[in-house]
Parts: sequence; structure tokens; C-alpha cells
Amino acid sequence: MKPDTPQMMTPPRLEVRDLGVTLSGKPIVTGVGFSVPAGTLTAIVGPNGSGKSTVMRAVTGELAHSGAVRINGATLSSLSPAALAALRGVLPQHTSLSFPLSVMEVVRLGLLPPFGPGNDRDARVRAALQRVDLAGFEGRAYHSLSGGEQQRVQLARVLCQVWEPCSAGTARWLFLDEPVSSLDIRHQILIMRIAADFAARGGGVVAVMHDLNLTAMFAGRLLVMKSGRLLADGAPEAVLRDDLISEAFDHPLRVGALPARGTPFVLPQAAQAAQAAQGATRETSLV
Amino acid sequence: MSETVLEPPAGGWRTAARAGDRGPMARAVIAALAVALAGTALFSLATGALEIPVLSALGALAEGRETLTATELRDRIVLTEVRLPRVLLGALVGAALAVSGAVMQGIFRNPLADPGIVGVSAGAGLAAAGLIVLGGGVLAPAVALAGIYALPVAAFFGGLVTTFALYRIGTRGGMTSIPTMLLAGIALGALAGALTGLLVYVADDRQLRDLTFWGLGSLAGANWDKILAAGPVIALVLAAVPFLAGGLNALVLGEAAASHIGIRVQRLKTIAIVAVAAATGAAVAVSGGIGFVGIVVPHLLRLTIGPDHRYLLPACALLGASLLILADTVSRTIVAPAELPIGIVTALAGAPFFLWILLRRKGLTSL
Ligand SMILES: Nc1ncnc2c1ncn2[C@@H]1O[C@H](COP(=O)(O)OP(=O)(O)OP(=O)(O)O)[C@@H](O)[C@H]1O
Ligand SMILES: [Mg+2]
Repeated sequence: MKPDTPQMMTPPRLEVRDLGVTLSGKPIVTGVGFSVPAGTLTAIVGPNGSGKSTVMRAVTGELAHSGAVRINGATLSSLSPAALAALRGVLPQHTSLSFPLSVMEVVRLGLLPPFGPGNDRDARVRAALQRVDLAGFEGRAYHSLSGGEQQRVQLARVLCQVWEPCSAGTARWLFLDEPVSSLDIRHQILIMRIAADFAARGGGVVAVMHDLNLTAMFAGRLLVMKSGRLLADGAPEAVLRDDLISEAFDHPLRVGALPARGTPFVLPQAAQAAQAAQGATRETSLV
Repeated sequence: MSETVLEPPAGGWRTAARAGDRGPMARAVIAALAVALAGTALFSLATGALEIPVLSALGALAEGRETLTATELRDRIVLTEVRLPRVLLGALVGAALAVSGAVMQGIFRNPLADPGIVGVSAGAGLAAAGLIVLGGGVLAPAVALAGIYALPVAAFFGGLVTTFALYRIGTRGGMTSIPTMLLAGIALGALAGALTGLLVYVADDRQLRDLTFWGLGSLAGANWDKILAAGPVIALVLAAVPFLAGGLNALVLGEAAASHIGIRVQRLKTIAIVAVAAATGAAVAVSGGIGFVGIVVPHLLRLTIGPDHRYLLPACALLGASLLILADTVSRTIVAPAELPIGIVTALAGAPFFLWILLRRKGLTSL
């Protein structure tokens, strides 16, 4: 776990107890509980349909749920939408615009109402776009952007909303549902760096991830979900074990360690075997 | 990271951030539309069987009647009792229809949502028709009590009931399905239209004439009573609607994302629906079902100034008012001394124009 920020001895936490979500009469998430501190990047991984987004949507107040969710000690239901918006930003897995906004107009929606007037606003919008490597895209029509560019615009909007990870002793939170799912490798690392930097400066980050290796590089805490339940919870080094991770994804997986830092990396077994078997054909087809 | 980033670029933040900011252009368009509305109103006041020197006649309104010549007196009566109420009513109804369309499209997150299409106008019309035909019986005391407000109030509740019905039909477990609501609205509109049609068979001759007027809409019955009845409702809605602009902008991202940035989405939807029902009800009560304005005007303006509701809503009010005044001027002069129902004019001019806009668009994505 990463060290606490100086002014807070115990970092504020996101506490989830016995979370249950029922959708269309079906229990989708049952008995999920965890408590994660701000100052750490927490990743949620698990197979498609395991309930990761459902947990995120419940924890961000979008879905009705049973159990208790507390952010920095306050129960979710005790916070007004405005107070919640000042406390945390949410990047949904998908966003579709109903009307053709420009990039600038989308990002500006992240500036909450009490935000000061004038140049300040434009400065933050620009700075947010620059952070996600989209400087100069202000005037583009959002619909005309590529998938990865749209995803980064949405992230810039969320960054605009929770600009300071930590202010007046209160940690702010970022909830990111697959923030890098449609990004190229450079931008995946850029966005993960922004998230990790946010956590390092005392903010809380909870991110749903699919790339286990990227997760191992950046996360300080790993939650593994399967079939609507929490399968494992711990440091990436502890959770990323052959047996556990293979069971989570119902697929043989091998965990190694990167030479330099000892960061775990995960290799799918079947793919490896298939590669070896296809070695000869692959060589000829490459010529 | 942020320190280095916040360094102002060459030319300063102001010019750099201008890209993508359609605000200045939108404000210019709104100013132009305001001027156009004033011009249209004056043009309409001056146009008709009788040629009236409008500016001097309006300027002389402050003077007493006894100072006027016979011609001036006649001009003044035509102006104040015939044309002025009609222009004012046209402006009110046009603004109400265009703004209702824009608000509904914002709430439904769909450019096709319009009180006319999702059955709100039909529901309001049914209630108004019901009052005309059945108001003489059991309802008579209530109607007498409500006076000139009976029709707008009935239409308002008709619109409100329709809107809530389709809202309920489209909502399951706290989630609202927009396509379901649109489809339900089309069905409810058809039902209300059919029921209104049935009323024709129980109506007497005078009622029948009043009912026909709902079919295509008309401003021919404009008088100060109608303005007094519909004006305050529409003015109230127009004054309240700018407060919804921020929430409607956030809704462009979807309901969940809007609530994540601090919008009370349920409250926003409730207020917007009541506002739309009130404005549509008031408009339908005094002018019948005038179609098309609620779709064409917001769409046209979104193409010009963008979807930012802070600018879109006032621009819709201004353009809707101008267009309806213009359409009404055409409807009462083109076949003079007879009159065309204004609905024919808005559809004849609006439909081809709208199709032309759809054809002219380069892509199909940027509705
Ligand atoms: N409204 C709904 N009604 C019924 N079932 C639903 C509903 N929404 C989601 N589900 C189901 O709940 C399960 C969990 O969905 P969720 O979106 O949380 O998965 P996820 O872990 O985020 O998956 P992915 O990796 O594909 O994003 C899925 O099986 C999905 O089909
Ligand atoms: Mg998901």
C-alpha cells in the first residue's frame, strides 16, 4: 500500500459492505464487500459479465442496491447530487451524446456550477485536454472523433470535474470503468499515469480493467470479481497467482515476474501452446 | 503536471479557447433573431386588407381618441382589436411550441421528440374538445367559474395526463426507456386523435365549427381574452425554462452521467414535463394543433448555433415567434378575403424546407 499523504494519518476510504444489486429481478451482484483507501489505485478485474460495471454503478449511486456504501465516512444516500459531484467523478463504460457537441462543450460539462467565471474555466478545459493528449481538439465535433479520442475527451471531462485529488483535507475520488479499453498502448500508459498520479497525490481511484499486465504495473490494490461475487482482494503480487487468476477467468494462465521490478505479468497458456505448435507455419507465412 | 500545462499559449487563453466555443456566435444569432422578431411583428401589423402606417399609429396609441381623425380611429381599432392580439398570440404560441419542442427533445435525448409527435398536443386537444362538447352538462359550473381559463386549464391537464401516461409506460424499475416512451406517445396521440374524432358525432353545429379549428390550427380567433388566458402560462414557462438549460446540457451525456455531475435528474424531468405540458396546453387551447414548429425550429437552430440549451432555448423562442407570425400573415393574406388554416402554411413551407435540410446534410450522424 502506498504511504499516506502527510496531512492525513488514516486516509479516507471507500467502504462497501454486503453490496447487492438486482436487475430485472435477477441478482447480478451479491455480498460484495471491500474497503479501499484513497491514495491507492484500486483495480477491479474479472470476466465479461462478472458484475464489475454493476458494482461501479451501484457505488457511484446510479443503481439501487442493498448493503452500505460509504465514501470518506459519509453514506452515499446522505450526500446530495451536488455534494457527490464535488467529491467524485465517474467515467462510465460507454457514453453516447444525444446532440452534436464540440469537444470543448463536452469537457466544459465537467466544470461544476460554482466554478469561477471567465478565463479560468477555459484554462482548465484546455489543461484537461492537454493532459489527455488532445490539445488543439477543442473545436472538433465530438462525433467526428475516433473511439479512443472520444474516450480521452470523456476522461478530460471527468478530470475537469475532480481537478484536485485532495483539497481542504478531503480526498476526491475517480471511478473509471475501463478507462483504457479503446486506447493504443502509449495512451493506455498515459491515462494510467494520470490515474496513478491522482492517487499518489492523495486522491482515490477505482478503475475497472481488463489488461492484467497494465493493471499489475499501476494498481496498488486488486479486486477480482466472478459471477457477481468478489473472488479475491489484495495487493497485485498476492492476487495474481496462477491458480487464482486461472480460476477467475476459467482459462489456464501463468504468472511470471518482470525482471527489473518484479511486477507480475500474466501469460495465457493456450495461446502460448498454440504459438509453439504454429511456429513452422508462422515462419513460412511471414516470408 | 498541471503547473507546466497551465502556461498560457501564444495569443493567450481567450483566443486559444475560442475554438469549439460557439457562445459568441450564438449570442450574435440571438441578437439578430430579436431584431428579426421585431421586424416581423411590424410587418405583420402593417399587412392586411387595410394599409396602416404602423409606426405612426403605434406612436399615437398614447393619445386620446378624440384627437384622431376618422381614418386614424379606424386604423387604431383594426390595429389594437384585430392585428395586435393576433401578432401577440402568434408570438406566444410560436415561442411556446418551439421551446416545448426543444425542452422535450432535451429530456427525451432525441431530436424527434415533440409535443405534436408524442401525443401531448393530441391529449391537450382531446381535453379541450371534450370541454367544448361536454362542458355544457355536468362540467358547466366549473367551466363558468374558470371563465376564459377553462380551455387552457383543460388542455394543460390533457397534455399533462398524456405526458405522465407515456412516462409511466416507458419506466420500469426507475429506468426510463426513451424509445418505449416515443412509441407509447405515438399510440397515445393516435388514441387521443380518434377520441377527438368521436366527439364530432356528439357535437352540435356551433361546437363542430369550434372542433374543426383544432384539426389544422388557426390564430383566427385571436382576441385579448385568449392572450389573457394563455399569455401568463406561456410567459411563466418561458421565464422558467432558462433555469433548466444547464440540466438539459448535462443530459446530452445521458441521465447517469448528468446525475454524476450533480444534476437532480428526476426533478429536472418532472419540472420539464410540467413546463412542456403547460406551454403546449396553453398553445393548443388558443390555436389548436399547429404542427411542425416544435421540430423544425430547434433542429434548424441546433445546426446553426449548436445544442447548448443556454442559447438554444431563447433562440427557439425568438425564431418560433417570428415564424409563426410570418406563417399567420401568409395564412390571412394569400387567399384574402378568405383564410388558410395556419397549419397548412406551416406544413406547406416547413415540410419541404425540412426535407431539404435533411438532404443537404453531408453525413447521417450529426442529427
Ligand atoms: N438491466 C439488466 N437486466 C438484466 N441483466 C443485466 C442488466 N444489466 C446488466 N445485466 C447483467 O449483469 C451482468 C453483469 O453486468 P456488468 O455490466 O456489471 O458486467 P461487467 O463485469 O462490467 O462486464 P464487461 O467486462 O463486459 O464490461 C451481465 O451478465 C449482464 O448481462
Ligand atoms: Mg463493464
